[in-house]
Order: sequence, then C-alpha cells, then structure tokens
Amino acid sequence: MINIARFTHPIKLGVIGLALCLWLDPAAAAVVAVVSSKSQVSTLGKNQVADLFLGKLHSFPNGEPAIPVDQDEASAVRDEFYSRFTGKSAAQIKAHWSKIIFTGRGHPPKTVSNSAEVKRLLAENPNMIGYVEAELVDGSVRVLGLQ
Amino acid sequence: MSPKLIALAWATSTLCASIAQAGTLSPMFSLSGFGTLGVVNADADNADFVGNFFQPNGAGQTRRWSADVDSKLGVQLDARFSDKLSAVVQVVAQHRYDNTYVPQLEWGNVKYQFTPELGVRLGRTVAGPFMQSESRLVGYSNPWVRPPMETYGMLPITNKDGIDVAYQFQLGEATNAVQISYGESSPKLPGGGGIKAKNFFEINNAVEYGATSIHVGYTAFRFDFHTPGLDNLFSGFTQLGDALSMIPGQEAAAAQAHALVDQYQLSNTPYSVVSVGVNYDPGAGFLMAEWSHEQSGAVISNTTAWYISGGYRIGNFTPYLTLAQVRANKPNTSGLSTTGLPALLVPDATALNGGLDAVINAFMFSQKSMSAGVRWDFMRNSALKLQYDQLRTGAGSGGRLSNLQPGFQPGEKINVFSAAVEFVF
Repeated sequence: MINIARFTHPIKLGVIGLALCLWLDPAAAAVVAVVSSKSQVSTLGKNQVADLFLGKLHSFPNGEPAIPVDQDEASAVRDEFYSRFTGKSAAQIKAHWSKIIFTGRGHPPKTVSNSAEVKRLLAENPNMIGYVEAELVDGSVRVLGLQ
Repeated sequence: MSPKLIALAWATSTLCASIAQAGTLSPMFSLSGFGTLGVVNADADNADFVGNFFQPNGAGQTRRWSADVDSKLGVQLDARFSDKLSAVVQVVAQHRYDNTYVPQLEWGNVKYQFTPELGVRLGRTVAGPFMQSESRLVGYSNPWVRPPMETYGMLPITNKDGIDVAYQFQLGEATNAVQISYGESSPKLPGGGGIKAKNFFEINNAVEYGATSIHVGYTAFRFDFHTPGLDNLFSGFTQLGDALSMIPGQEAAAAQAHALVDQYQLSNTPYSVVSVGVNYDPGAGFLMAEWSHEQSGAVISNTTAWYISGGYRIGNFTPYLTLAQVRANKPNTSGLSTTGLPALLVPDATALNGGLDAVINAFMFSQKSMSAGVRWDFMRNSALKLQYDQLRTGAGSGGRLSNLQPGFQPGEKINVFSAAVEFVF
C-alpha cells in the first residue's frame, strides 16, 4: 500500500509534479505507428506493435510477413515511440537488443534517418511498419488504429 | 588482455560507435561487441571472491582490489550469406583459468533458418538452463554487475559444441520459444586440469506475454573432472587398496578402498540442473525470480538455489536489490574404516580419508547473499553500475568463493563492493 502522507511534502510534491509533466507531455505523445497505404492492416494491438519492433513477432495478424523500419538512435521520435509503445527507455531497448544480438538470435530492425525516409520506404512496401510524428502523416501511409 | 586494454577498447569502441553506427562493414558482415571494465573489493582474508569457477584468483586474500573478477571484452562478427544462412563468431577475453586474458571462442556457429519460426545451428552455441544463460557475459544487457552467483555458479560452463534447434511460435498473444540442443564441452581448470562434459543435452522454453516472461530450462550431461589433487587422492586410494589386497585378511578393506574410488571419483558422473524463472519488466522497473536445482553424484553435493531481484527506473538510474541463496545436501561418507587395518597403513588411510572429506566439502556450494546496487545509463551504449554484496558461506562450505586458505572460516560475513562500466558497440 502506498502511504500518501509520505508524498505530501512540498518538495516531494514538486518532484512528483515535474515527473508527471514529463510523463504526460502532450507534444511528446504525437508519435504514431504507420503502415503503407497499400497494406491490408488497419489496426494492431499496442503489444503487437511493440513485439514487432522488439523482434518477438515477425508477421501481421493476417499472416503477412512484417518488416519493421526503425529510426536513428539519436532521434527524439524514436525514444518517444519506444517509450509510448513498450514503456522502455532508449537504454532498455539497447539492452534488449544486446541480449539478442550477442546470442546470435537476431538483429534489430533496419534503421533510417528520418520520418520522410520511413514514409518513402513504406510507400513502396506494404509489408513494412514504421512510426512517424503525427503531423507528418500523409497519403503514403496509414495510421494504425490501436486496439 | 589486461583490464587496461579493456579500458582502451571501451574508449575506442565508443568512438567507433559514434563514427559508424551499428558497426556495419557491408550488408553481409557486421561487427559488434560488448565489454565490462570492473573493479571489485572484497574483505575476505582467506579466500578470493571470483567472477566464475574458472578464475584462479580474484578479490580478497590475493589482493583487496581486483579488476579481474568482472572485466571482459567480447567481439562478434555476424555474417549473413542469405535470408536463411548465417554465421556468428564471438570471441571473449576475460580472466581465465591460466591467469591470462587470452581470448576464447565463445560462440562459433552456422545457422540455417528453415522458416521464420525454425532455425538450426551447428557449432559452438550457448550452454545453460538459466533465464539469463545466453547473455550472462553481456553485462550491459543485465541489471546487475553479474548474475547472482548462487544460481549461475551451478553451471559455470557457458558454451558447448554441437547442434541447437530453436522453434518459435505464437500462442495467442504470447510468444513461445523452445530450444533443444546436444553437444559436448571441455573447459580447462586452474592449476592444470579440466572438465570433459559429454552427452550434453539441454531444453529451454521461454513464454513471453507482454511484460512477463517465464523460462524453464533443463540441462543434463555426464562429465569427467580432473585436477592433479583429485587424481592424486584417488590414485592414493587405489594404491592403498592394491596394497591391502596383498595382505591376507585385508580383502574386505581392499574392496572398500576400491569401492570408494568407484563411488567418489568424478568419472562419467551425471550432472543435471533444472531451472524455473519469471521476469516481469514493464519498463518502469523489473521483478524477477529464479529457482534452480542441481543433482549430481560422487563427491558433488546436490544443491538448490534461488534468487529474487527487483529494480525501479528513475530516469537514467535503476537502483536494484537482490537476495540469493544456494543450499547444499552433501554426500555422506566416513571414508575407509581404519579399524583392523595394519598399523603401518593407518596414517595413509587417515590422510586419504581427510583428503576425501576436504574434496566433498570443496564441492559443497552453500552461501547466501544480499546485494544492493544502482545502474546509471550515463551515456548511449554505456552504463555504470555500483553494487554492494554481503555474503555468508554456509556451514563447512566455501560457497562460491575460491582459493580458500587454511584459515578460512565458513559463515563469516564478507563485504564485496563492485564498480563496473558496461558497454556495447
């Protein structure tokens, strides 16, 4: 049980408030998972999106192979995507892949340098799945509805 | 390679990683690596705290501070010849049995991926039934400075040569991965000696559902274990038996001496470990627990180990706590009965009995520990960990400590402080 009284000190409240602000930052939540507009897939579970990018799942629910397209490790949109869809930090994602790479079990997704590149690749390949900033969505890609 | 060289490798690797991200040489080959640069202080006066069973010395009585316990560097070359055919070579330099850092081949295998679900590997692959067996050397991928030794010390062998079949499938929203392997392994021991593990069979199954994963592993093999000390002990019993068999009226004692050799020498001895682990890691923190049981024969105690570990992420910091224990059930022996032996042979028999008793105690691994630490992801691809362990070995046991000296007192509290920089590139 959490003892609320322990957290009511003004400084503690300030720290908690700041943490909440960072967590709930509305600008930061504007990353969306996308597939090619040619894809048959329109919705996916958040866990399924996460599993595709973490190498735990290799196909869409309809059986079609899925190819995740990741973004540059230094990009803010990447950190935001993993934070929203997997709840994990950049370091935790790196640790996850270290586990897989150094056992020879697999490789992280192909990486491109920005959202424009993601859209360009997805437009050509209906098997690909990526993520972009919500405001950059255009006719080449479809935003996945989350179940 | 010394810890200094590992430090240099770390500096170089961070540089390399920033120049050529993911170290891609060409579409076919990729180079990556991992490493730990660590120092350990242990206040054991008559024993050494070591990173694994094969290290000849560590922190404690040899030297208070040691960089040898955790420091290591691994380099891996991946080759992808086609969608289905690939190969991995991983070489690891760490403090090894002969007190050097000469790199050893950790993995070296060719994989044929028949379908996205089914892959077969031939060559040197992982050994171990534990939840983190595959990544036990990759410090960066684990929350702690080192996996709990109470559990992971049950099987210090990390690889084997043979065949490994992996099959992964979906169970609703859960993923199930099963891995079956067969092979052999022949690691060398400090002080001249070695282990020869044959008919090395393993099956590991991992189910992952969202943030939860459950792992069940089983390892079984038969092994020979030779060191000059052990070989002398059993040839001593054999010679004593031979001598007694020539003395009229000592046939029974002779038979007993020979029977002790058959019963206790480590030759074609069975060894098996079963392990069940659960990990819950939603991102904000982790909670994991693992229970393992080892069963063997001859001079080796059966042991049961568990650990429970949890951590909570606060920005780039992840403080964690671990409790761990291994308990041993030691084989009973009173050695060779000296009553009725010719007086001339009693001192020999007594010495040999003492030796057998010491060996049985040396193979009785019992200890518990409490650890607290923090991981700080201070820069991309690198983490700093600080960890404090307090451990006590069980009654009559040296636990996972090594290099025990005559003054060693089982059950004494030992404080271990570790600092490690872990990196991947």
